[in-house]
Amino acid sequence: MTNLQVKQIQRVELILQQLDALPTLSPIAVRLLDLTAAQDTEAKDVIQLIGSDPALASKVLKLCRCHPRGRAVSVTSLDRAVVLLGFDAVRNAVLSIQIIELFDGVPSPGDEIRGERALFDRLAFWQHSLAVAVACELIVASTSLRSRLKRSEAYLSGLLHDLGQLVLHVIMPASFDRVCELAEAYNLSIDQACRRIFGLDSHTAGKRLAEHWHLPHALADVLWLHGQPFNLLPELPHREMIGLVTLADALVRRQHLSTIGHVPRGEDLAGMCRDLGLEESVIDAIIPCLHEEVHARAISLGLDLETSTGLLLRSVSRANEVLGRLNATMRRRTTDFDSQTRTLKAITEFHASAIPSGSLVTVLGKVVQSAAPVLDGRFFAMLYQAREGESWQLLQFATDGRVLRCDMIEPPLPSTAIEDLGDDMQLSMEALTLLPWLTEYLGDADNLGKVRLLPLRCGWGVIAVLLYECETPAGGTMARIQLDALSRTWAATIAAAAQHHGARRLGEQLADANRSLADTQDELARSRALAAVGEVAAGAAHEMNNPLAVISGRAQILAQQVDRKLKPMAQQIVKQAHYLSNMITVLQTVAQPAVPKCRSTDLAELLARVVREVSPKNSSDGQVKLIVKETLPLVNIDPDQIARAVHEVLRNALEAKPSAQIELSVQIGGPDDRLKIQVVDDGPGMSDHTLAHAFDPFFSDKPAGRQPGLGLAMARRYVEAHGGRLTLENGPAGGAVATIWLSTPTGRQMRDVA
Amino acid sequence: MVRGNGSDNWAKKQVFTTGEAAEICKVSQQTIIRCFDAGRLHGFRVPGSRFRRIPRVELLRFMRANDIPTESLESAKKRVLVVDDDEQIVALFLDVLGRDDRFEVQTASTGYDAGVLTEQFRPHLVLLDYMLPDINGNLVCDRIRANPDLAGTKIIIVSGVVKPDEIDALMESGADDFVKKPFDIGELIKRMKDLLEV
Repeated sequence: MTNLQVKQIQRVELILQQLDALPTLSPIAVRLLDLTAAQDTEAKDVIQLIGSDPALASKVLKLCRCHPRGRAVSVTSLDRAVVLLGFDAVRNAVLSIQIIELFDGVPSPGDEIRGERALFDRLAFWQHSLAVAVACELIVASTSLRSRLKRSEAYLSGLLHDLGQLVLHVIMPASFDRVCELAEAYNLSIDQACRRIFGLDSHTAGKRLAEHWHLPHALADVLWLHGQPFNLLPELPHREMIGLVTLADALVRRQHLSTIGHVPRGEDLAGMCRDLGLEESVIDAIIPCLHEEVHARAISLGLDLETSTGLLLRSVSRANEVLGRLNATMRRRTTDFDSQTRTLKAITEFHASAIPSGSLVTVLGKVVQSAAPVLDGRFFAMLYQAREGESWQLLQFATDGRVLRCDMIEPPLPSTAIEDLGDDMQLSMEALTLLPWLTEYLGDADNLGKVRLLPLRCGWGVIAVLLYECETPAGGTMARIQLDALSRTWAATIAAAAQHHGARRLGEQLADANRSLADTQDELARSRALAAVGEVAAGAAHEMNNPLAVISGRAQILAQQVDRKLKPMAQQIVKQAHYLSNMITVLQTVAQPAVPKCRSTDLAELLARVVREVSPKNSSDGQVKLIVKETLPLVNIDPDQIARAVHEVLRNALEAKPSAQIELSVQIGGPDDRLKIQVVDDGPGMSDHTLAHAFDPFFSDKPAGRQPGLGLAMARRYVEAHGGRLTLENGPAGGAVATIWLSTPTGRQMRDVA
Repeated sequence: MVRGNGSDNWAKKQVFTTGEAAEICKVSQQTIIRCFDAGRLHGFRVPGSRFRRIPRVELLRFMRANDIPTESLESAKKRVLVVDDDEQIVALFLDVLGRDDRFEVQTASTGYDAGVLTEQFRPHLVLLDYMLPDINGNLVCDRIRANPDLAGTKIIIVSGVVKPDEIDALMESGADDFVKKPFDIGELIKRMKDLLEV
């Protein structure tokens, strides 16, 4: 059960409780009901009872004189009335008087406030009820129903059939007015509107009241069931009475004898007549006397009604009023509809053209493009902030969405100023107080006074402000609510674009972070691997160098003692032992190079020495050309380490190609005066695989077993120990280019690499 | 254990007669006896006789105290102490240096032995391994350098260590040179000769 349903049930209960709290019938009426219901009641009891209330007695007499038979027999006293008209007629007269008086005595809460505007007209209500009552009576009197239904009961049933409406009105006048309003606006019946608002209709309310007042069952059922199609009614002894009231009600509405409730709906009067076993002609017969009879009864009941002609005129004028109101409503709705259509069209077109995944500026341009025809403006600019914390930008647009000008707002704009902007405001003093800098950027607008600001708000606040120059405010041509819808659509799309933009940026940052994480992990893995290599090498150095020393030493002694034939073998043993030992040393150096022992060094001289060392004796095996274009200052480096590094790089280049022509150049330059030592060879260059692994210990792209791939690794470690970098790449000419960058030629920022 | 094969008697002798001491010091026997009896030259008398005997160490002290050249007492050979815990390395050194008659060699396999032998053998040169079973070579180095009597003793570290920092530390504790294992025998001998100014 939904919350709404629960609430409605509670409301129904409340209404029913209030019904029970209504004043009850006077003791006279109650006693009268008892008396007339009893079989053995005598006339004098009834007369005595009514006589005890002189005011009631006179009203009863007045009413009885209007009775068709009363008029004929000249009722002058209560005795005669009871005798001539019978108990029932008198009882019904008393009841109708009592009930009308009862409700007249109950003030409707809020009556005085609502005053003239009260939509439920009690007089009109009684007028309608009376008309139905009279119609019932006339139908019974002039048809075969006469034999089955009592006239006075028919009259009372008609009079009280809509009592439920009156009760609801008494209990909740304001709400009931709302019911009337709703019924009129949506062309509903009062009961349909009642059910919508109260959760119960006037029929149920009427039934409850009848029970509360101990009205006869037949009457209670009329109150409850009237208006329902005859064939749907349960098999009740007073089924015909209910059908009669329904018929009379429809007849009265058809005759415009009442202005209350819904307009006639073209009920099938003929069908209703057939249900009751009547000829349709009966209706035609009673209509002429209906109006007069209603008028007469009204007077006798103290209802100050107009003449039937007046009533008709008033009905017509009421109908005209309603028609006029309907017309106005229709016109207003048509205008609204036109405007809504335009808005919807604008939104649809905007959605079709603006893609949130486009760039933010494109989307802003699309907003301007969409706004231009709707706002009928000339100059368009957009004040926006791509992301929280970034500076605001003012973009000027052509009406087709092209960017004309872009300004960064300096100093940064406090976003509170933007949030404080009113909806669609003129560039007034107020706006200029909030955004004093604005005029500086609006040189292109014809008339600053006509520039308007339209803040585009989305869920979390103002996402952008649309500035436009316009003769008339947008509200003039477009309803506030539609401008709101448009501006929110624009805002949502801009927000989506901003989000998209942000998400993309975030994605990129994440990718960057991942890359750098991967780099860091690589670096960490490399340094871990190197540390492990260093430990192994240090351990191996001690464990292996002793046996190697024995091998080498013994072989040296052997070499001195054996004959010439065996001597080279012994020497080979010596050489290989030293080679192995050397490898361990280099490996250890690669893993943990010594802290550079820096001193002022003549680099040109150092390089020249290295070139002499590495240059092949036979120039056909390759040449190294040293190029030093400028006079180099003394640099603070560890000459041994740098010499070794350059040595290894040159050796690598020489080994890449027989008869290599190598250029070794050195220069100082760049933004931070970096020292750049470059080795360019004319070899075949390096494959991607080689480039990626050239610095790995023991990597070699030469056939396995030729050279230990430790040279470049060691060179890089020495350079890194100086806080520099050694890079390898393929040069434009095809050969490999190795570059040693030493960040500080003067060695001030030398760092230790452990 | 003396493995040297020197032909000089004085060099091997541990106890001298007054006649021998006089010859070594190039003074008369009477002078030696007088000094002995005056207590300036310590010694002992052979039990059951009156023959005076002078231990080598006391004779050397006496000679130095009186500015008498000690060359004649010492051998022309250079005393070399090899300290290494690897027997094969020791054997290699004995082979290499033993075949060279310019060297007289003794060996030790622990830092402790090295200390004792440095006092007794008074080597001109110590070939010192770094990694020893008891104390490390640098401590042996420190001890030798702390003893003024051994001021002239040269030390060459012969080791398989490769860390430049460790090598630097060894040199700082007073070693005169560092030779990495495995070594070139010719190169090692050259360095030894350079240090001993042979």
